[in-house]
Amino acid sequence: MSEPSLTSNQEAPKSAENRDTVQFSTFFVSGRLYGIDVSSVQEVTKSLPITEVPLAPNYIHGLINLRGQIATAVSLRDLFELKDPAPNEFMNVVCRLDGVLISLLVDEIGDVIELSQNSFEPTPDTISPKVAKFMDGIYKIPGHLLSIIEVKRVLGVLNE
Amino acid sequence: MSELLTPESYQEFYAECEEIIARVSQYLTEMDKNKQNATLIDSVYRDIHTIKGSAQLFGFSEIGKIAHAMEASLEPARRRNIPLSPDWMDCLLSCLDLIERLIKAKKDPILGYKIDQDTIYLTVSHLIEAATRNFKTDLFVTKDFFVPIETPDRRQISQSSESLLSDHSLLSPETQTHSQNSAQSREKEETSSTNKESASTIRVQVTLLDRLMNLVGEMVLVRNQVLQYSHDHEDFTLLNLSQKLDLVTSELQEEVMKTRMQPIGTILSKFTRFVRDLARDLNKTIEISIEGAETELDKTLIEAIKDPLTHIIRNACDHGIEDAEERRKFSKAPTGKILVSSLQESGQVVVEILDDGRGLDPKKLLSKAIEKKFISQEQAQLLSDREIFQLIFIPGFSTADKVNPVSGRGVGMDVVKTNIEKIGGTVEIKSELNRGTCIRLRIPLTLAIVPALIVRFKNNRFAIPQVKLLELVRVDASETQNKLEFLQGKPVFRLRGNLLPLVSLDEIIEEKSADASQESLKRQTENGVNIIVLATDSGPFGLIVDEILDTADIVVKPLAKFFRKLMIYSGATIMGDGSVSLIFDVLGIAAKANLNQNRSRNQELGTRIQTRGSQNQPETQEMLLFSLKSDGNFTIPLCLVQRLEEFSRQEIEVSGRHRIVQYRDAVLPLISLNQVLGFSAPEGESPPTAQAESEKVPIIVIQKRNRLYGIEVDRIIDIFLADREIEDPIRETPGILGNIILGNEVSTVIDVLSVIDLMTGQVDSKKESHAREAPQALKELMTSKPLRILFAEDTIFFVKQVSKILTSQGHHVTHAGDGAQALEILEKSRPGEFDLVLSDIEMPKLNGFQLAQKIRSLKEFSGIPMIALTTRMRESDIERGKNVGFNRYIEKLKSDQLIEAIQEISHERTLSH
Repeated sequence: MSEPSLTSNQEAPKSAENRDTVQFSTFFVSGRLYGIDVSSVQEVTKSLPITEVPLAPNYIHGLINLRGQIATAVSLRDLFELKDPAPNEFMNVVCRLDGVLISLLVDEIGDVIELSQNSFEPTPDTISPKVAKFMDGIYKIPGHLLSIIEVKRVLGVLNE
Repeated sequence: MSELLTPESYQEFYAECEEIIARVSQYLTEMDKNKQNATLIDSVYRDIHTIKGSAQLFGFSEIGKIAHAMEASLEPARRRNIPLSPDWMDCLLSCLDLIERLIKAKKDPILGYKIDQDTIYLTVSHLIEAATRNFKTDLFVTKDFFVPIETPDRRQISQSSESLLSDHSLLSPETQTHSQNSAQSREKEETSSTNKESASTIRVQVTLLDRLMNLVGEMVLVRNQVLQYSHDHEDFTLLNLSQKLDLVTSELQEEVMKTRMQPIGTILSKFTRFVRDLARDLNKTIEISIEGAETELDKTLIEAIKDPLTHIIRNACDHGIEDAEERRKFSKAPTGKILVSSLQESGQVVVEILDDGRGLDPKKLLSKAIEKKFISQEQAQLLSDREIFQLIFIPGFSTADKVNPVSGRGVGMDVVKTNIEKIGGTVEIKSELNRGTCIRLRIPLTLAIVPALIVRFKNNRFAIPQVKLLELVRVDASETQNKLEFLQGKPVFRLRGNLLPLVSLDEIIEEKSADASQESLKRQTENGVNIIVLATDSGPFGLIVDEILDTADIVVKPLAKFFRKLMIYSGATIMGDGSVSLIFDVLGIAAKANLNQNRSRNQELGTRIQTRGSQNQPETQEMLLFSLKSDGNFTIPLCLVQRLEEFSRQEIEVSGRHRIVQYRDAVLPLISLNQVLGFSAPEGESPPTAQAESEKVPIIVIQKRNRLYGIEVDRIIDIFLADREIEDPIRETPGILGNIILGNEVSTVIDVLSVIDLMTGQVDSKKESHAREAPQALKELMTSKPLRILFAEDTIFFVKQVSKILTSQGHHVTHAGDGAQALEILEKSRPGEFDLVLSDIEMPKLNGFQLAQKIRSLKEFSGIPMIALTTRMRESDIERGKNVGFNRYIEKLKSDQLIEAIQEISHERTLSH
């Protein structure tokens, strides 16, 4: 895959530091870069066996056993209604919120990067609402725009 | 001292006080009942003393003073055995309440409990007055004793309270010294006992126990995985170790479960006080006794059953127990009794609440249900008493004639049922008019681990909690042609004659259209079908799965909230191999399949009765085979059997000349078939040895005229499907119906209903002789002019028996399998084709009453004689039968009466023609 390297970029925001920096766990879905606030990520794991939940919406791929705890596997590709073919195996970004374990299924894991609040911007209006409703905003990093996914919004949609 | 008073020690003080208050209030109520009991007074005195001591230590002067007053007032009673007057008892209890409230106020200042000094003063002075009246001695006390002391300094208080003791001559001098002495000795006793206690017990936070419980749950899962792994690998060391792990884990799990167990007495004991207060409010005398308070139950479950229990007991006091006057009318003791008992039974705790009040009145319940439009008039007639009692669980159903503050709170038994079912329990109700009511709760021991059935559908495994599981049915490919049917595209199955609606997971899970799922189901049936019969409020339904894998104890893990809207899952669990399985919510599946909507609860009740006892293969009948002290086997038709039970010989009691056992809170008369038929035991009537004492006696429970009888046999062998007719006996013997070939052997068929008559002396000898001597002329008339009889009956046993009797009399019998069929036959018949209609009452589709009504409404049949032949012999049924147009109402298998009635009818007709 021709995804851009992040290692060089990582330094840039750090040097242009500000006291208000946030760390993000980044990942790729359909070749696009997304990030989640590190504090809401419990762990990142490789692909795990999934038990499907019949009748559940298509973006809920099923349940996974995370060392005796049960997490709900949510495919971001399906949640964003992206139509491109999915890979055979997903990576899990496991988040805990309100006592619920949600594992976001993503294509590939990126680095953890620290970003300054200076580079933040709200989500542009032109972004498709299908994705925009899960986004908190974007960070401008050299060579990339990082879309920030808010887990709370994901859970909100699930609970709808 | 003060550095010892940490917040924790305060918490402990509160906890201790609460415990003591609960205990003392129980003691007091007990004393109330037993009047005089020195040990009880002693215990109360000791506990109150403890409160006094610690309250003063912690600087709660008010509590200390109240306790002191209580203690002082108890002193003479304790010393001189003076009986306690009820008003004094009330005062003691209200003092106790006051202390409780004061503690609450201290414990949670946020709640803002405010207890003004006047209340304290008033309560305590009432106590003193009562005590003074009671003991006819001036005890104390000056008003300023209870004047509040602002900003109490601890030392000052203890001093002042001591000075109160000595200076103000609160007590007479002798009492004082005595009280001090005894107080000292008590203190000594107490410290030694507390030391012992603290060495063996320890207070632990419940959250810690919860955490432990969760961890053990995890450990069980790991254990399962290790076991699975070790079985798949041929490593003996691993296998050995994993088996050890298995043992230890199981034991650990059991022990940790025990830490959360509490005796159910912790809540039951509260009810003594509760009932006492309630009885006083209601102006009734009610006594509550508690059995099995030591039965242990998970703490969360104890909490969960508290409210339902309170509600049931409140109901029993308010609606169940009558006031003394009404009780006298029914010659009952003026004091109403409530018995709460609990015991552990096969992994469940059974709690029974029994009262000897007025019981539930089926008629009242029915009219209420009809009035509230829960059921229709027609349905009402079909309900058995048991089903009528179920009506009280319908939301919005309340039988109280008037709403009062005690029970009329807008919550009914439906809430009790929901709450109990929420924790995986069940509620049963039994009642007898003017005798009392018994409500039985069955509660699982624990919630975290439940037994479940593991099934496979497509590639997924699912767990089904066994609470809802009734039975498993496998329909083999060869049978499916007959057994699995489609009704309007929906699969149904005839389970022992009752139509069982089937739910295909295809339709539920895959949301396939009915047609598509019918197609796939039809394909599936070629390999046989597995049906899981599950219970719901509105009756059973069958779930079709691909495969039944296993049963397992599963650890229930909650699912995220958003899965709830899918309705069909109640949780998830982790299987032995580490994969996740979903747990089905049985009621959710039923709802999803629209089972509840299509068939409302009450319709279902009706249909269930209608279809009861009907057989789908009219050529066979099920026979229960058993042995007696005589050669050969004996049998009775299974349709007559209510239940099979076993009692040990010890349980059998003798009342008068009859042998009885206690069964379902009633007396079950036992009838020994050996005795009736004159078979004696080979070893004679030797006195029962110790071994024989514990031996189990198989009992066949038969219902006749709304009464149960126990038929004692030697051994129950099996149930056979008989496809042969019952043949006449070789020699007419009372109690024997004939012979039947079962398998290759001939078995004797017992006429069990007439055996009961024989034994209970209900044989109307006059009638019998009357029938025997039926006027010869009439008999001749009859035999010379055979009648054409239409016989509606669904139970094949009776069809055969009655037809045989009738044909032997020369009549011609046309049989109809149910009421609807009978009506059809009749409507299609030529005028005068039938002379008589003979009908069962309980039949599918159209019951006997309905059939009679329909027939009478047809002009050409308004005059045709009709005879009801039934086991429903309640007064109301007979009355109803007459009303809807039956000329005669006869009990089944009373062939003499039947013949007589037919003769009479035919005679009447001959005369009128």
